[in-house]
Amino acid sequence: MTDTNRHPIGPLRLRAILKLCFTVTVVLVACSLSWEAWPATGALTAIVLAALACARIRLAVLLRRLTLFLPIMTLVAISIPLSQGFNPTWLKIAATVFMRGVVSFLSGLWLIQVLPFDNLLYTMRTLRVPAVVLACLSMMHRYLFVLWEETERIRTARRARRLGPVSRFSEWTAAIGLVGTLVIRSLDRGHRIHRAMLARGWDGHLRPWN
Amino acid sequence: MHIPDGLLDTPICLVTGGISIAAVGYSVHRLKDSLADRTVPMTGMVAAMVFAGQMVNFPVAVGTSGHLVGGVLAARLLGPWAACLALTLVLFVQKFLFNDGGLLALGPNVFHMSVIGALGGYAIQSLVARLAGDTPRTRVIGVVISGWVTVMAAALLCSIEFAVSHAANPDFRFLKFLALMMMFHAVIGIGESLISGGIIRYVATRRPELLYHPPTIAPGPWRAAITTGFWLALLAIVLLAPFASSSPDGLESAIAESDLSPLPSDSFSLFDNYTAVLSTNNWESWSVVLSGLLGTSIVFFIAMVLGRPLTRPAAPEGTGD
Repeated sequence: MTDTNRHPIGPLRLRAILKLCFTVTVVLVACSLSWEAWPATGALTAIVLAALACARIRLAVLLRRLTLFLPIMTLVAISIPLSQGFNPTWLKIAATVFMRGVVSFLSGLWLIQVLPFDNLLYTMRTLRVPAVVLACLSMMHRYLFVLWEETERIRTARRARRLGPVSRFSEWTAAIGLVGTLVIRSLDRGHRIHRAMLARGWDGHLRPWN
Repeated sequence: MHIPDGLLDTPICLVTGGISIAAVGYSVHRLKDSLADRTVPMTGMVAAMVFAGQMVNFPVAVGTSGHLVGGVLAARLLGPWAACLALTLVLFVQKFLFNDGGLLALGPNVFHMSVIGALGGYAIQSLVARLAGDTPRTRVIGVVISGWVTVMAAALLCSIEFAVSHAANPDFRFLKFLALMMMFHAVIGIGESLISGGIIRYVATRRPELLYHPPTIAPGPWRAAITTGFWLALLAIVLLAPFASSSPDGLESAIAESDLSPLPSDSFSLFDNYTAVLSTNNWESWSVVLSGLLGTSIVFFIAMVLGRPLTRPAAPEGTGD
């Protein structure tokens, strides 16, 4: 497999690179601040929230994501005092980890809001990421939702065949059967796609993208 | 669960990220030889399948559930190199499409799940196959064992990374944290073993030809193995040497605690305590790196010289006299 194309950095990709750089900078700065520097962390949070507002993220989406993330981050933050005891410094340590995690999460949320995945793939091409990696990634992205829907179909069919409550053991065997069926169907699909690619002249060499 | 940003220090994330990039880069390099034109469709499809498989919840107790990690499963389906790439793609998509896990923490996450999970998992499966024979039953046993061991290994590494990140905290109790992590992940590891082993058993009984069968490859030239090892050793030194501890090692501690006479300090030493190459202040980390590079190069050179007669082709039979 050879990488046959190199794209120059256009305005679209330059914007994408700037967005990536902004996010990396925010995460780096957030992860270098401790609890004592809470005004700086507050300012950073305000900047990221303003960026999220400019990106027109819906408040319901933001709240739903935070509702899922905050309990997990709280558990992660108190894992340190759990291992060392709740002495006078535990709150500062836990708060530092919590603040860093939340600001980084918000900046990641902004990034996925303003940088569509296909644009990210084009940008990675500009950044000289190996073509085989990008091809695998775009193939995964293409079939991710197909397999997701397939999983739901298998799950629905299994639920329809189930009558009444089942034991924990039965639930496990059913789930293993579900993923096992998914594995077989996915690999079969992969072989079919491979044959279709061969029929269209695929020889393992990647062609330029437009 | 993926490690979020903020839990580990930035240098730890960068070091594990460097190791992960090296391991995934080497996997991509090896892929060109192993799967050829099937690499793209099969790796992409298995990566998508692992992603979808992680959405299936396995009930554990009231209100809690677990899910597949997928490293050892992918290794059994694709082989080590494609599995390492597939798991890396899963983590990448989870971050950049769903914002799951940290950005800097992508390094440790890839290290734990792709490198340890897929490459380490495949190594354990190969070891089991070598010890117990390569049969359908031992393949499932290999997946079960590797599922548990890789989860525990990842937990151990995560604990060490965590301890290094919080080394400045005098109240942090590493052993207590490690015990908690290992106990918690021992249960998670059992779940991963059961799920991965169950899935492989399911596939092996229905479609055994879909599983990965390692090709029989003649051993490569010794020069390539030595060169690879040499560059990996140099990479490890450059990445890890700046974080070397200045505390005494086991031998120095034992000498200090015993009544033995101290080691002579006025004797000549080329790289005294690994910092003598650049003895200027503030250059100690670079000095350690340079000492490591020079030392490794010298050791490799000696090994090459001493090992050279062993690699020469044997004289044809019947010509000895």
